[in-house]
Amino acid sequence: MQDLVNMTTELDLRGEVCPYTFVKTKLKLEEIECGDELIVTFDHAPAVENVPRSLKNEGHKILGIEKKDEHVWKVRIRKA
Amino acid sequence: MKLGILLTSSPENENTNTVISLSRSAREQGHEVSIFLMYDGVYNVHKKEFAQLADKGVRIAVCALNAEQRSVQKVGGILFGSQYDHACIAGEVDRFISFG
Repeated sequence: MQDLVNMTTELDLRGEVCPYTFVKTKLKLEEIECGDELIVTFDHAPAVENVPRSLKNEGHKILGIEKKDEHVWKVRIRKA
Repeated sequence: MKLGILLTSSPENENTNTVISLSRSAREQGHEVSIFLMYDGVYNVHKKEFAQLADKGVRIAVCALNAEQRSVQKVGGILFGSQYDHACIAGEVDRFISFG
């Protein structure tokens, strides 16, 4: 039942590099409710490793990382 | 004591030997040491002395973006992280020293 009321928000961070990839993801997470899902699109490879690691350290859950093409990834995050 | 060090200069700068000596001495005295390498400081990651420091328990993190911009290859045992890791180090340590 809980999953039915959770919202999903998307954030496109293509063209952004560190530290803005983490900062803008964190700011977007502050706008959504606990338990909601955020899907972030990155095109900077180091961000795909570092942003999820940093978010896990902040207590959020990484639901998945999907490679969309050679330089584009989508990271699914559940806000803690 | 927890000591944090930021190194932003390249290996030919005297800062490199200062950071190596300081970190080695601090570890020998039982202090925790974390080093963050960014800007041209990322070139230091291939110096054998930094690998030796990592073996002695010094935590070393490198700005992955700056490393990518300078075509610096990854090294095992060293975190190729972000400014988040830099911020964590600065927030955790008792003293933070910047060499650049």
